[in-house]
Amino acid sequence: MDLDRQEYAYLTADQVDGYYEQLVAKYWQQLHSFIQRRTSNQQDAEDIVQEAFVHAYYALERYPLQQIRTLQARPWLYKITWNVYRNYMSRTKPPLALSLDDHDSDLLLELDDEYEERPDAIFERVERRRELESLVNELPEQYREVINLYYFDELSQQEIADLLNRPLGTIKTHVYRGLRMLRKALQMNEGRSIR
Amino acid sequence: MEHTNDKRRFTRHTHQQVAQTWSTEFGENVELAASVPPALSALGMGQVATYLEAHPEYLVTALKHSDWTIRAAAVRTEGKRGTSFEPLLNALHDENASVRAAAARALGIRAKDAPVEPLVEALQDREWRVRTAAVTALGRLKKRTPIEPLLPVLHDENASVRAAAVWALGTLGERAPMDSLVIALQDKAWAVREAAAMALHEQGERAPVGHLLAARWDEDSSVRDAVDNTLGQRFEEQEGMKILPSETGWLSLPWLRLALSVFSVYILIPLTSIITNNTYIGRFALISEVAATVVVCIAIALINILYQRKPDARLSPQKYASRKKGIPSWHSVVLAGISVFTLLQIATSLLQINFAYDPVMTTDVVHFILIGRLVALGLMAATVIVINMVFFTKR
Repeated sequence: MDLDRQEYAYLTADQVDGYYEQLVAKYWQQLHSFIQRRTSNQQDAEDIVQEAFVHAYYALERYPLQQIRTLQARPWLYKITWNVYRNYMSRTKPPLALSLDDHDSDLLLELDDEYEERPDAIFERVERRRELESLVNELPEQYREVINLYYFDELSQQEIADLLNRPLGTIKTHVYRGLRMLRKALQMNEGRSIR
Repeated sequence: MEHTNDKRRFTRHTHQQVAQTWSTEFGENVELAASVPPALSALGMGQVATYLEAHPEYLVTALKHSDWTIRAAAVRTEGKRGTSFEPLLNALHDENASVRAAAARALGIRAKDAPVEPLVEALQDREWRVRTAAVTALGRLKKRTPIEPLLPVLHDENASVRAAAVWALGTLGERAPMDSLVIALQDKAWAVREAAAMALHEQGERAPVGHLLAARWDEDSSVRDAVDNTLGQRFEEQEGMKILPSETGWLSLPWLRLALSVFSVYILIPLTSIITNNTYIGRFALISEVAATVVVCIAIALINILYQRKPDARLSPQKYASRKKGIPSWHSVVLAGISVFTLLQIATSLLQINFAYDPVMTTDVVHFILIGRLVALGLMAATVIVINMVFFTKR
């Protein structure tokens, strides 16, 4: 026997399946929304997330126990999904900007939870969000992606840095500058509508 | 023949169809799938699988079912039950990729006596999911894992397949092809590089520390974490041992490093004579001599830093290796002794007041020369300290 070897302990097949099922239950919807915001096609989004989950399953099969214990599942799944999305888009078409129309279902879902709110207030909020999203779409690409991930996907700056393989400082700068541009654009928009 | 199902969208609609078919065929009121995400059915999981586990009497029918999601679930369940290999081997040739992948995974679960050849054949499957499952299953065979068929898989177009191949090779212990694992640390996909770092962990002493240290600067945080884990584990478990120099490092022989350091210190003595032996011909000339000394000192320090550099220079010794503080090696003591001796010699010759250069030399000029020499002495002392530090910290 090779005494120098430091063999890992692994999850059993049942444990992998159980853990995977938990991940799917918890993150399927989140990741689906994450991709749906970036693609114009519902079916594409479903395919991408499914492929990402299958990649994740195979990774779990070979990850040692200690790795799984310390695994931060959410950013890890986002990273895998992001890679699949980028590969998918590079194979098919250039990345699409944030899609407004495809969000309608998301927005309606949110509305379901807020049925007690006055309809005009809800409408105003939805309009506000739409306006914000369209302004984010007009940002330069490097800021747009970071702002999307930070505000709409609610990833932390560190998670975005890991996802995009960029230094944390760069992400902080991009969030700051992106917000500044956004604020300026909002003010200009409001100025126009007042006139 | 590959059916178009392979590319079929796994929609909720499909699930509802499955539920309907299932209920009709078996006459059971099985509440299937409307809420099961396709990510489960693609791997043979979900409520169909749960149902089959509870009702194995339906397995034979389910294995031949027209719907691939039911076949995949049946294959998975059959694999867990471990009754016969035949259904699994048949399923390896199913028209649907998810079923074939489920069959390969099921064979991997029964790695003790699973046949090797069908899994090797599955490495040629057109679907990455099947190839990944086959590679993973082969990795589980341990002593029976064949190396040769896995090597070409390291160049597969799909990152998951490559990562699985790296993992499978990493589990082979002394049989693992170290070169291939090291090359995988440079793969373009982070998942493969991460798998390589983990595979090298399993190699224990065989893993080249230098390459792992270089990988600590990987652009991807998951890879960096895996590498740190591998390095951390290795050195924590070897208390009291310092990091071994890589075979590819510069001047890996200690005596060669000592020779370079001693030579670097000694060469400062002739440098001193440039300043002390020349006749004073003016301030500009002295400033030029001191400037030349600066250049030479920097060059000597840089040569030592660069040529004594080893890949392990990036590793914090406090973090990964327990150092015996206060007990330097005899090489360091020799170098320190020679350094002190040389510095004393330099100081003596530089600060000796024997200015018989010129009868008209004024006090101002003498002071200027002394300041120049003091600056030169400071520079040389700093250089000697750098040489000693480089030698001591990078041993």
